[in-house]
Parts: sequence; C-alpha cells; structure tokens
Amino acid sequence: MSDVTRILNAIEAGDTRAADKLLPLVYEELRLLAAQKLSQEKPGQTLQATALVHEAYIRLVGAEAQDWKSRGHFFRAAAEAMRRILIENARRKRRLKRGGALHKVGLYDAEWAMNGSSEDLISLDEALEKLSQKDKVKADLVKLRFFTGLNMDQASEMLGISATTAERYWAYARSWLHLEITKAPKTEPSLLVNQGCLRQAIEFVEFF
Amino acid sequence: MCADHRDEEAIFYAALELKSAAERKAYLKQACGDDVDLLARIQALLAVYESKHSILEAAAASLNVPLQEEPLSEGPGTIIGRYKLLEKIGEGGMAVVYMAEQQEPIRRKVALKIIKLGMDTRQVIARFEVERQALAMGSINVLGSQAALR
Repeated sequence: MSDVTRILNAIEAGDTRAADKLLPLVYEELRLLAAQKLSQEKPGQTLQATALVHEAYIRLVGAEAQDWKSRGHFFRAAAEAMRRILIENARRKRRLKRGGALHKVGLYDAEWAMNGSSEDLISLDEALEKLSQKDKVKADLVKLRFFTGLNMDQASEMLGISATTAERYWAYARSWLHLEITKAPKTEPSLLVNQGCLRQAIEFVEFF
Repeated sequence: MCADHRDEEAIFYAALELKSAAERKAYLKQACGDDVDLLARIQALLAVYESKHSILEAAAASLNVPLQEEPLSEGPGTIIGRYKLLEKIGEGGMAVVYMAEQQEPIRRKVALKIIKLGMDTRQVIARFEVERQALAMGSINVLGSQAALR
C-alpha cells in the first residue's frame, strides 16, 4: 500500500492531520514529474497539466481500486497543487514579460503547453479565489474539471453531488467567472513601470 | 440595490428550465420586478450561458484541458494522443493494456496501460506509458511474456 493510499484511508477514517499531509505530497510529486519530463529534453516537448495529474495518480496511488471519496480527496489536492504550480509559472512569466527579459527561460518556463497568455490564467485564478470564498463547492467543481481534466460525471461523483446538480453548478459558475473576470479593469503596466522593472527582472533572470 | 446572490442563482436556474425566449422574458420580468440591476445581471449570466466561448474555454484551450465531453470506447485503431492502439493484450479490474504504436517523435511499439476511473462512461482519463525494458522486468504482470509485443 502506498504512502498516499495510507493517507487517503486515514482521511476517510476521519484523521484531520492526514488531510494536511496530502497536499504537500501531491504537490511535490507533480513538481518532480514536471522537472523529470523537462530534463528529458525531447524535441518539441510540452507539459500537459492534466496528463501530469493522472500520471501522479498512478504513481502515488496505483491502479488499486479506490472508492469515489478517496479519489475525491486525491484529485482535489491534485487540482490545488496543479493550480499553484501553473499560477506560479504564469506569474513568473508575467514578471519577466514586464521586465522585457522573456528570452531567458528557466526550468519551469515556456515548456508548459500554454498557448494563451499568462494574464488569462492569473485572472481566472483570482476570480476562482473569489468564487471559492463565496461558494466552495462550485469553485471545487471548476478546479477539478479545469486543473485535473475530470469530466462532469467524475467530478460530480468526487464531490458527492448529482450529475444534474453538477451541470447547473457548472453553468452558473462558468457565467459567474466570466463576468467576474471581464468586469475587473486590467492593469496594464505603464511604460514607466516597465523601465523600473527592467533591472529587477534582469537580476532575477541572472540568479536563475 | 445589490442582488442577493442566492436570488440571482435561483432565478438563473429557473430561467434555464424555460426553453423559449418569450417564456424566459416573461419569467424574468416577473421574477426581477423593479430591480433593473438584477434583471441586467441575470441577462448577462444567461448571455454567457448561451455562448460557447467564455473565458473558461479560452483558458482551458490554452492549457489543453478538454472541457467538452469525450465519450471514448477505445479499440484497435483508436488514436489516443500520439498513440494508435493496435491490439488488446491484457485486461484487469480497472485497467486494460494495449499494444500500441507511438507515432512521434519516433515510431515504435509500446504497451499502453489505460486506467478507467469512470463508472458508466468508458472515459480514458489516464495513460501510462511503458517501455519494453520495463516490461522485461515484469512490472506489468498482466502480460504473460514479452513475446506478446512482437
């Protein structure tokens, strides 16, 4: 039985301390997996977030049958961990972009399969945080589908809600998030700020 | 006057149940009454609902997250990512192993273990790539012998 399986069982048995152990483990595994894949330097290699989560699941939990609740604990932790990794990466990219020093990339940059802007992801993350304060279940649903790629059925099972409820929650959350993101004024850094950031960004890159 | 988000949510769901635009319009008028802000808010929410493209889809696309449902019943010939399934070589409780052909970056035969986490939906949600060398070490016990790969 793997360490994580032990923790999942403990969580199910009501051990609240076990729950605190899960996220760091999953987070570390995801970062490790990402670093491993990047170090293999296959040409045209990109990391795909949801595939990484599923691989982490297999490595940490294996193919042993788990009930939906246990899987739910894992995937919720994985969603949170993946979210943090992607947001860290997006914020780093944004800092570099503003400093004009994007050409120099480090271990976590550029290799994530991200065609869109980091700005979109950061805005989504902030809106998700707001939604989470207001309505945790809906935010969890979005996080599960978005950061671990589970479909509606699987996500609803893991959250312990019916598929119909999940559909409604998803519809509302989706609309809510879109309106939340599009209403917030985007802060474009002014030219002055850009120049101020330049030296800071270069220092950061050289440290890297 | 700020709309209570619970009212807004309830009205949103009720509006979704109504199929015709006329019914919705009538319902919203009745449900929102004098509250113009609430009406505008619900209409905005519904507008996003009607549209296929919200910020969520855009961000998901950039992360390669499939938000659309993909009912998949895999079999020989099915293409999953850069692998083409050739033949089933083993099956367990929650997994099935296929001999598959990797298309790129190089063409080669691999074993692909597909773990199923879905209940009714046979959705592939995890794939685990296994090298021939790993098979030789017996890490997949579902396979009788390496001869199955040739």
